[in-house]
Formats: sequence, C-alpha cells, structure tokens
Amino acid sequence: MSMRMEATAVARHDEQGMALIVVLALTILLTTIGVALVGLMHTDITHASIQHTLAVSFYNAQAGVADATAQVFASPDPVGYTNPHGSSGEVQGYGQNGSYTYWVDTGPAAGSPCGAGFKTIESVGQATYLGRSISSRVRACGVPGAPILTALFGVSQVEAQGSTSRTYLPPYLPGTPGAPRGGNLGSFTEVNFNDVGIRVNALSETTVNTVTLRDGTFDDYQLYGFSSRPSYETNPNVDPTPWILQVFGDIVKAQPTTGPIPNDCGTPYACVTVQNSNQDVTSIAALRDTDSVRHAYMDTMNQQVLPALSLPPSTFQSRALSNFANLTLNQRAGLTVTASSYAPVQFDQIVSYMAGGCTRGPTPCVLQGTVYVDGTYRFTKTVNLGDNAGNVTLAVRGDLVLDTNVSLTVRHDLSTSSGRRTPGILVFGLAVPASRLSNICSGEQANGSGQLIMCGGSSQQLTVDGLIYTVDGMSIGPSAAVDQIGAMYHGNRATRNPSFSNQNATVVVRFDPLSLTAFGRGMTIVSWQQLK
Amino acid sequence: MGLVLFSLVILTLYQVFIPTLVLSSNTTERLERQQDVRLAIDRLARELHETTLARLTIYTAGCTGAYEGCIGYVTARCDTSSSCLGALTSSCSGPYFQTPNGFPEWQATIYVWRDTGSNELRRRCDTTTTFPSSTWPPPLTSFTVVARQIDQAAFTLLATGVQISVRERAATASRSSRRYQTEFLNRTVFVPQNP
Repeated sequence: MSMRMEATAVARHDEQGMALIVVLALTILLTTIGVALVGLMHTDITHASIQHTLAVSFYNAQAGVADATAQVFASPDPVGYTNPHGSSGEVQGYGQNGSYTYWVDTGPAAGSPCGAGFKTIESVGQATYLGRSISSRVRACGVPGAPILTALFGVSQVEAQGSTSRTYLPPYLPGTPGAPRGGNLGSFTEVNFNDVGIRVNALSETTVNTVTLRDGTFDDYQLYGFSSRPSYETNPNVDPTPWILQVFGDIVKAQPTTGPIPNDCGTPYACVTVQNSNQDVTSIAALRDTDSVRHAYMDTMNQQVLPALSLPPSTFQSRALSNFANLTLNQRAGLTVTASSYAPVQFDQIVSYMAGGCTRGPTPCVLQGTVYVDGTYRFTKTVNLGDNAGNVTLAVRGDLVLDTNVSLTVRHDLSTSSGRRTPGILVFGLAVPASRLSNICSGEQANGSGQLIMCGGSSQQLTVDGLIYTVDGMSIGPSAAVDQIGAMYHGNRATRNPSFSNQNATVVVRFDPLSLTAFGRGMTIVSWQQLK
Repeated sequence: MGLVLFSLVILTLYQVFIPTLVLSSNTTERLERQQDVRLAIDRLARELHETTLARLTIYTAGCTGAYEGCIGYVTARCDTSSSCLGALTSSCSGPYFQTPNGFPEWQATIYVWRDTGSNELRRRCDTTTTFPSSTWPPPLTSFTVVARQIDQAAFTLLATGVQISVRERAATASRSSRRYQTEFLNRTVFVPQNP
C-alpha cells in the first residue's frame, strides 16, 4: 500500500511543470501569430493611409490651381498677371497637415510651357502622413482675359438662312484632328437654323468641298487637321451622331450671369430652333435626325451661365488719339489730323488714297495701330488696311457697311501672341442711334446702332484677324465670304436685329482663343495635366 | 488528469483567440482587397483626369458576354517623345503632348474592360486612332492587366464626370461568408479636366 502511494507521488512529481511549458509554448506561438497579424494589419493600414495621403496631395494641388485661377480672375490685368512671390511660389496651408504651392508664369511655370500668350499655372499639393511628405504636381494652361471660349457668340439670335449657307468653325493651328476641337457656337437667346439645307461644319459629305482663304484654296477637312477626306456616316437616319462630331465644338445654350433673357421658346437658357418653330431642340442627334438639319455637325449642346461681355469705345478712342503712327499717311492723303481718330469723311479720304495705291507714299501703304472712326462708315472700295502682317484695329462709332462686292482686309502678325490678341474690327454704334432706319442693301436697315453689314456678292471677302465685336450684330449677305482667324462676339441693343446672320454666305472662323483676351477679364482653362 | 485539464485550458485559450484570428484575418483580407481595387482605380486615375468628356465613350451595346464595363477615352500621353500616332507603343504613359495653342494633342485611345472569363480588368492603348471606336469591341489584341479577381466592373457617365465601380471577390470562397466579407466594392467619380 505504502509502495503504491510512493509510486503515485513520484509520477505526479514527474508531471509537475509540464502543463506550464505547454501553455507557455502555445501562448508564445499564439502571441507570435497575433503580433504577426497585427503587423500585417498595420502594414496594410499604412499602405492605405499613404494612398489616402497621395489622394489628399492631389486634391491639394487642385486647390492650388483653383486659387491661382481665382487670383488671375481677380487681377485687373489677367494677361500680365504673375504670382507675387515669383519663383518661390505662393505657399498656402490647406486641409489637415497639408499645403499647396502654385506658380503663375514663374518658377516651374516660367518660359511659356503652355505656349506663347497662354497662361501656365503649376501647382504642387503636399500632405503629410507619419512624418512623410507626399506631393502631387499638376499643370493647367489657360487663356488669360478670355472669360468664355466661343468662336461665334451672339447675345440675341444667331441664325443661318438659305440652303447654300456654309459655316465652318475649325481650330486655328490644328494638330491631329480634334486637337484642339473646333470652336463653339453660342447665344444667350437662340440659335436658329432657318433652312434644313444649312451647312455647319459639313466636311466634304459626299464629294470634296473646297474653301478659298487668304492662304490658298483648301479641302474643307484640311482645316480641321485631316490629311484625307474623313469617312463617316452622313445620313442622320442611319447615324445621327457620327464619330466625326468629336472634332467640332459645342452649341452653347447660354444664360447671362445676370439672369435669363426671354426667348421665343420660353426657356431660361438659349434655345436651338429650326425654321419657324419655337420648340427647343435638345440634342445634336435630334437636330440632325428628327429636325432634318442633316448637314449640321457640332459635338454636343450644353447649357452654361456666362458673363455678358462688352468693350468700352472710349478705351479705343483714347488709343487712337494717342496713335501717331499714321501721321505720314494722313498727310499724304491730304489730311491735317495727326492722330488716328477720324471723322467718316476723313477716313473715306484715307481709304480712297489707299485703294488708289498710295501714289505719294508712304511705303508700305498701311494703317497701323488703333484706328477710330467717329460715325457710321461705308466701304465702297476694296482695301487692305494693315497689309498681311500688320497690327491695325478698326474701331467704328456707328455702323460699318461693306458695299456689294467690296472686300476688306484687316490682318495681323500672327507669329506673335500680341498679334493674335489684337482686335480686328470693333463696331460700337452711335451713343444715341438715329430714330429712323435707313435702307442699306439686300433689305438690311441700319440707324447707327452698331451693326456690321456685308452686302454680299460673289467677290466680297472679309478677311480679318483677331476679334470681331459688334454692339448690335453682324449680317452677311448672299455669296459673300468671311475668312477670319480669331473669334466673333456680337451684342444686341434691344433691337430686333439678330446678333449674327449668315444669308447664303460662306463663313470660316478659324478659332483662336487668344483673340478673346481683348476682353481682359478672367481666364479659361484649355488643358490640364498631372505631372506627378 | 493534469494533461486533460491543461488541454482544456489551452483549448479555451485557443477559443478565445479564434474571434481575434477571425477579426484579424478579415481585416487583413478586407484591406488587401480594398487596396487591390483602389490600386486598380489609381492606375486609371491620371488618364481619366487627363482625358476629355468630348472623347469618352461608355459602351453598352456589344459589351456583353466576354466583356463587361467597357469604356474608351483619349489620352495625350505617348511612350515616345515624338508623336505616338501609329507608333508601336503599349502603355501610353510617357510624355504629355500639347498643341502650340496649349490644348492637349491627343495621341491614342485607351480602352478598359473586364474580361469575364479571367476576371481581369484589362487596358489597351490603341495608337492607331484618337477617336474611341463607335462600336464595341474594337481590336483588343494586346493589353495589360490592371487588376485581377475583379468580379464586377462598371462605368457610368455623369453630367460632369465618369463613375467607376470595381468589385473584387476575395479568394476565400470556402470560408464562411457569414464570418468573412468576401466582396469589396470601390466606387469613385473622376472628373476629366480637359475641355
């Protein structure tokens, strides 16, 4: 009995501590597993946090672009604006432990990376996580002084009439097709297609069509960067939105920032109408297909709230009064004026002398700088005001009329950004228009409200570089041709005049956004890239 | 007897650890899957920011069967420092091209889609055109894989941007879905910055 008890005691004694070892071993094992799992979680959380921080830095960089854009908008001279601290950049704390630094045409944005005349904004966004600073860098290119980007804009109705109306809105300096896209067409009131045969951006639909411009005769598709005739479905019943639409600009149904302008459709934004209907067409597909305007090609229709723009005549009158570059021409033409502000009769004397070849000099026989005509003027002779690489701006304080088959050329040196910015023709209208309308031509009437009237004719060609601006609209008579590199903005003085009317004419506006810098307000971003 | 008791204690301890292990595994897996789908979207983020809505097409017709979540959009990036158009490139992630006017000069079209057979999110850079194909599928002979184990992908066109939704399924089908989250969805909206 006692021997058995002893044996049991020895056995128990032998097992003492075994459980502890097992428990310890397992505890260590499980702790190790637990720690490893926690470590994995920690690593994953760190990765996720770094990605989050990277995203934060990107949005901080975007905030920098927005801040820089706001500064350009607020500047009295958007074209000349650079950030105050130069290459050091403007540093601003933003968000939690974040910041951004931006440059406008200085530091990394210096040297016109976006192209001469364009504003370059570069912004670095930073965000911090666990002591690590993570950054993103973006760059935006803008057109300073241009609050809107439309090739052809009218405050009131923009219309095309007649089945032989052709309007092309290609880009100036196209790269590959659609880079950049063609110009936008817009209105605050209405865009009307008066005839279903009207052609807008109709590129050699069935056979090759050509246009004759100042630099030669081109197949129309070449204006958009195509090297050969593009193949696309022209039948809207088959394809109302052919791929080629992506090359063109948009129809902008605009509303002024001051509130809607009443239109026949009763819509708060401008409407698009066909013939005499007052129903708003809502898409390009519907315009081409349902409404049968099968030769109209624009990319999309969109609604935008835009500022109404205007140019003060006094600014240009002052410039003309201090412009003595035309003194010799004035003298040779028999005028005693020294500056470049003329009464209509005086300006007619200048035009007649130039049209006659400037027989008594000077050479070259050109006007220079801002020329101001204080009243309505009617061109009765074909003339090239500034030669083919000039810098003339024609400002008229009345109406401007081109008689039938009379041509006018106002060209600039487009190899420079200042040449591209210089306005071409500005028609301001009389301070107080006449109470009675006078017949001008082809049913057009005027009273000095600020219209640009082309009477038409197959020999009539208006060749202009830069902005064409009118206070009360532009009408283009039958068979006339417009060859413009720049943009058009046409106002309305509460008259019944459409802001733009193409009546069986051919209009080519090669859209140069720099021409809109003449308005000197704000900025529009045209490209954006993420550098890092 | 002692061993039995200790075994019971250890089993009890292990049972205490199980919820922790489940939680830990679940969290890790969840983070990994989220990271996966996030990385996939990050791989597309820059080019979606840099494209334009004017040349972005989301395909519904034709995007069935072997394809899901089909989108095409242009890029101004090229692998080479000279123009990309027609050149043999694969990624279109090199320098950014601009026209003298400061506008982006488009170089190629990128297509992204989910291959339903392999559950891969695929990306193809087509340097032969700068216009997204009007019909799906375009030629998709060579591509790179953006993400794997993607069981759902969708693109939706919004007024000002494009919404991308990617869902990844964890490779834990044998585990109880009651205890484990097995599907992870990431939905992000990108606003193309170019006009």
